[in-house]
Amino acid sequence: MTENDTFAIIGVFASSRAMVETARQLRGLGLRTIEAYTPYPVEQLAETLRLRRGGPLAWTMAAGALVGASCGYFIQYWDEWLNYPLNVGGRPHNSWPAFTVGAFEITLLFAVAAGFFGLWFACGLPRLYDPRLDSEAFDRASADRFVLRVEARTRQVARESIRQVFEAHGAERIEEAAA
Amino acid sequence: MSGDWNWRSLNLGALAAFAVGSVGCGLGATVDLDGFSRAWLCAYLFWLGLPLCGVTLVLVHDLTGGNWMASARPALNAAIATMPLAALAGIPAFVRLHALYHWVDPGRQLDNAFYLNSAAFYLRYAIDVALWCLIAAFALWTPRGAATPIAPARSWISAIGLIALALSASFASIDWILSLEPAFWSSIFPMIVAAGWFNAGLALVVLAMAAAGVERRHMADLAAILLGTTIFWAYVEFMQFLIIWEENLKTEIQWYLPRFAGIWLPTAFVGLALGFVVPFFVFVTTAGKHSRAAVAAVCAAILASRVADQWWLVLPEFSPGGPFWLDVAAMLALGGLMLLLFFAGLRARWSAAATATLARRHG
Repeated sequence: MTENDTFAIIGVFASSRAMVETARQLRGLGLRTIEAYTPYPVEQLAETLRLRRGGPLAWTMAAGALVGASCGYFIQYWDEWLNYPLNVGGRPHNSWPAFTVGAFEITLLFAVAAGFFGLWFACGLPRLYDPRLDSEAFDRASADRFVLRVEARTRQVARESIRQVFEAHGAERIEEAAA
Repeated sequence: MSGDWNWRSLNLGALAAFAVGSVGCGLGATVDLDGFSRAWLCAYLFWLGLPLCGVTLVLVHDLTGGNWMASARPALNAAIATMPLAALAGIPAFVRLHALYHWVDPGRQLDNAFYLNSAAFYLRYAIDVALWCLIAAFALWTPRGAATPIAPARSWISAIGLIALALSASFASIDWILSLEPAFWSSIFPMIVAAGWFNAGLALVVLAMAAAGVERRHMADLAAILLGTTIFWAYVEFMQFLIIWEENLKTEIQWYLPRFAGIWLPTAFVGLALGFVVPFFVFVTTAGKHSRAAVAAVCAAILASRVADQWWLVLPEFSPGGPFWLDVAAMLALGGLMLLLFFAGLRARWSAAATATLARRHG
């Protein structure tokens, strides 16, 4: 075992409060790769783990909106002016007030689709199986338990000190796993 | 929090605006009496938004609750207290109805003359003023906590008040603005005007709150409300335009023809940019809603948009129009008075709130 080896420790808690406190203390030790699995959104967890609001997903959706606006406008412009110019009620071929509505709808469609599939991607969704979840510690993470998974390098911190932090906050179960 | 404000120079500024505006109005009225009536109508319609927004938000809060009211209550109450002045300020414009509305002319045989006649107009105006002052008294003087709404047993009065407010504001917008073009009709129009009133009032209230440095998350909540209502305003305004522009019917398009001629076309775009585009892109971000400087700047933009939009709604109807300085003078004259009253209310309520906070902390 060299000192660059990474290892993972999983702790299961009965209360969200204990989990948030543990996460806070682990961050204090300088650990950055902390994952939390909870049955419902826990307040202050995002703050504690420094999860960014928005982040890449927000930009993905903004890009989707921009592409959607351009496509939505262009298809109307192309059809009405370039492809098949037709005089409708004496309105100009490039009727931007009328095109705005359709362009807006397509903007929403693209933005929401970008968000939907972006979230899939962010969750690693096409992959249905993750060996990390083999552990029985996760069994109740979607029901009534709060699970923390910490990754660290051997040279960074001793396994024992992470274990102690877990124990100090009353972890019901502590498991080691391969990272 | 009001300690940072230099009340003396604020009051002097408002007084100066009133003085300059009054001199301008006096001069303008001798040169162009009809022009004065029209300019004053615009000023009246703009400043009326302040108390109307105040009562609306307090009554809505009675039904929904929300912690933001803890910071907003003093400023909203100061806005509501301007109701008698703001509501009665229509009189200088309405004494000369024939300068404003074509339907006063008995030669025009209108189908809707049973509704559009001077006596009925004045009656509706009197009812509006009385009703709004009554609702304002209810919003101001019935017991409520800083952030707590009215007692649940009485919240039905707030609900009825909101319905009465919506109906009376609809009638008012039809009487005062839509009837400028007596044959024109648009069912969405009252919502456009009501949203404009609400945005103008809320922009002024939030501007005061941002400048006074109230709690950031409360300011952000109000900015979010303002984001919603500016989107709503742009939506209804655009929907009315889109339908009428597409149909291009003789009875309807005449509303837009003078409003898209000459200087009024760029005015419409300025109103849209400052009243919707700028607020949207700033307030849609979390940082924009929480920055005092950004919120204050956007509120100022919305106010500028509201002034431009008020002129755009009323003035293109008259050609040739009165001098532009007269329109500005009327805006300043009534604005100076309204701000003097608003500042006095803010000062009294903020110092009372600060005293109460101190008493809680040390008592």
